[in-house]
Amino acid sequence: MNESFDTDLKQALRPVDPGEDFTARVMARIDVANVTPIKPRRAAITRLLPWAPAALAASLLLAIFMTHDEHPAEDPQAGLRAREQLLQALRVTSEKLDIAYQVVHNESTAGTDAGA
Amino acid sequence: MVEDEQLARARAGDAAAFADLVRAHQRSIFSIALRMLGSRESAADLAQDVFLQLHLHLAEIQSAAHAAFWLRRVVTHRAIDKLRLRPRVEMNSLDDEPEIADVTTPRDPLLQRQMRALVSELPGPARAVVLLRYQEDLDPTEIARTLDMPINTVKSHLKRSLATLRDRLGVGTATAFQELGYE
Repeated sequence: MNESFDTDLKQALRPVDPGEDFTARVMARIDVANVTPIKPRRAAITRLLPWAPAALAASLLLAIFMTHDEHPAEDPQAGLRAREQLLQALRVTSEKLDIAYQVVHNESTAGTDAGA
Repeated sequence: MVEDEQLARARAGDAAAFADLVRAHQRSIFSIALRMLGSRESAADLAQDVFLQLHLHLAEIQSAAHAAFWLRRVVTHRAIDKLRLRPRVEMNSLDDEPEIADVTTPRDPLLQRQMRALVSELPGPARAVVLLRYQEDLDPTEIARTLDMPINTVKSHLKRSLATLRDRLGVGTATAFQELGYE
């Protein structure tokens, strides 16, 4: 028995299998860990989105007020050009907001589908 | 070397390569965790945590051999920490450990079960030393590096643990230590 003690102990302590799905569970946890940091950013965008129209309107009023107040005696043509530029800027901002909304909406839908 | 290429691909973000890396080491890491903690559930949780940590530290891993060393080191240290937090009355039953079928060299399954049970009763650091020596086949120098332990402490743990096992199993000690080269 003395001679075989070392061998017996090695045999007793041979590595055992953790189960078929072990690797899959590790990889799933890595996927979750990778996705987690993205969540707060998406949540922040979603939370701020309802305020976007109000913020836009406030910016517009402020811009009109400042333009009107600071340049009362300028050429009417210059005023029209400034108005055109302002409207163009608002159109671009509106388009960007639409795109942002679509991205957030699509990500929310994709998240719901994956969780099902 | 294939394993080093696999590691390089895993480091570059290849999930399949990392899964292969997990597969290559999961038996060893899970078994250390199982024999340190005594339950399959706790062992699976700890082993998964260790692989998750490896994924986060892949940039620091220089070779496949380093990965094996790193995994053994983290799992043993974390298991010893967990054992320290456990109440003294809690014993490891190892009931969760499956019987190991061996058709090549039939041995006494009852004796092997007894051996596993006795190893599970050793104090954490001594248990880690015995597992790294007999499960992982590391020499005392490698065990000392893995556990951050002086080599004489490793040898002392081995000597005392084997004496305890032999005593409890009713096997003589002196001859065995000479066979193993520890004395």
